[in-house]
Amino acid sequence: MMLRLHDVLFSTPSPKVAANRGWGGVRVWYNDSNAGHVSYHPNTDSSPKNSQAAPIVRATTQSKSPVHVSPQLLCLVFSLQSTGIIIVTMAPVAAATIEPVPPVRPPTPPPSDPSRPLHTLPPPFTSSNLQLLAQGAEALVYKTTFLSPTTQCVVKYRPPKPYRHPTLDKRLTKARLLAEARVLVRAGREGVSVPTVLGADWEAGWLVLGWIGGGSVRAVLDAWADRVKNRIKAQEDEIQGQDPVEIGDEGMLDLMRRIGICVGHLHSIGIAHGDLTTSNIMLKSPSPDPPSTTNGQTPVQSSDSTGSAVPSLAGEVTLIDFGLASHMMAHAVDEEGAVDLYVLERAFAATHPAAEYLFAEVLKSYQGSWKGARGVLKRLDDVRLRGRKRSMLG
Amino acid sequence: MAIVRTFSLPHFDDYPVQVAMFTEVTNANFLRSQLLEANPEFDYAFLDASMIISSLPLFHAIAHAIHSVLSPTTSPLRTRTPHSEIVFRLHSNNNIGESYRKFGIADDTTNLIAIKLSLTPEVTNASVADHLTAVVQGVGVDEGEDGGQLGMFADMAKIRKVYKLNDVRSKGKVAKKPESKDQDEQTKVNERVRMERDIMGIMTLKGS
Repeated sequence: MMLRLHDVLFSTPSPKVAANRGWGGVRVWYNDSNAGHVSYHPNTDSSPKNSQAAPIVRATTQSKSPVHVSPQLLCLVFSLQSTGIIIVTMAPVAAATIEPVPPVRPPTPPPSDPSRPLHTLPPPFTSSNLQLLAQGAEALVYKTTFLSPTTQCVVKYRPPKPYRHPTLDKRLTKARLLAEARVLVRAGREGVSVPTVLGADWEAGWLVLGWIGGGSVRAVLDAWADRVKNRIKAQEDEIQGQDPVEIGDEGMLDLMRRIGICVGHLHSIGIAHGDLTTSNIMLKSPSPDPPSTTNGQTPVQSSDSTGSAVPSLAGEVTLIDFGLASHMMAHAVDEEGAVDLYVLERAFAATHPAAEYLFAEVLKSYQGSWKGARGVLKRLDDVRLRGRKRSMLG
Repeated sequence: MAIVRTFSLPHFDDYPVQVAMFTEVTNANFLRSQLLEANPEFDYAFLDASMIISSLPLFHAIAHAIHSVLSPTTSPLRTRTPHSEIVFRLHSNNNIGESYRKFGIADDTTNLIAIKLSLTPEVTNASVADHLTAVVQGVGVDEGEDGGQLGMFADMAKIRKVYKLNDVRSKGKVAKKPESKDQDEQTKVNERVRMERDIMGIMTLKGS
């Protein structure tokens, strides 16, 4: 009988027994439907309990026909004398010849249609008036309207993750959406400028947030970095070196102060943002659309302001994306606040080296914004040394 | 004479909603008794207009009520009918009786908002207008094409109390002294917008 030997599972019964006898049990599984089982007990001289002289090969299959195990296979298996499990892929065994198995090819991915989004929003959301803004590891963000045709909003949808157990997946999705909404509502009530929470279905995994017109601070900084580069280039021909004070104009410094105050306000009410980057800080367009009563007058879209024109520095500093936000524990306020600032500092440093000077202004206004700021800034020095993550002990 | 406006909420285009507003209503106690008897003719959401700050919270309640009808697996109806769900959704906690006492029609209600969901094609603007004209003794008020006037009877003090909006604000110490009358007007508008925003959040977080 010809059997394809694909996997050989090699394991010792238990470390003690294996050490006693100096062998390991062998089990051979066949990928064919008529699976067989082979066990092999070699007897060495050091095994006092087993008196049989010859190695025993027992084989059974469903068809009750004998299984031929090639000597090469057994040699290979027994040369792998170790604890644990070793899986050996074998070629089909025909008499004593071993043929190579063709390499396993990964399954071809399903054809992707660029016009169709990867995930579709659950009801009630229809595809009409729906525009994908961003996709992260956890959520998809769409722009659409909700409640009234003039209320622009953002839908944050956490699609189910097929690799998780469905019940666990539902609970995690619900808990995370709920945490985000709670933080947003709390921050909004305390007067921090954040998106409005317009609606949600925790079980289905969506959360509707108010639309923030205007551009991100990231866009402002990038445009600023370009200007700085150009200016330095122009000045290099005449004077060497650039006084850092000249880099920041008053408008930028004022924006930095507002950012510092906003972050300080958020921390003062005991909320850590968790993902405080420059692209998560928006400048709400100065003529905001109140949630209701105004009709028409679409707010400036972010794409308009990131064009070649210099983005406006006006607008209320508004924090978005509270997906990782949390209420700070009383004893960890310094730590979590410092990590927020550290992440923001890294985001500033990533745009341009000269941005560090701007960030110093953020810290300066942050220090004056609430009474716990001193401790947070002190801790920031430690965080700078070790990075965002706490050191793992044990 | 009832002035009924039909609103079609985004994403719920197949289920328009008929909204009528009344003032100087004299037979609130009759309407309420009909509700209590669960008269199928009176399957409306009758709301006390003084508890509605603007159109958004109302549309929020309506949208979530329709959503509950459409997706019972993820967001089941918590009350018996879609119309009672609207009243229930307005409240900040899960107490149905309390939400009716606070947002529903009372015997002394004079400013009334009547809502009827068009879940079946028989319910149209005309049919609702005819029925309401016949049963409600009051003066119809136009709430505007986009529902902008739905908050005209809002009693801010009562709304603040129901949603407990004073507690946090007083602690925050963010109130700024108005300097001129113009600014005073502006802060009032801002305050309203902020209240509306807070209410939306509270309604969304309701009971969880």
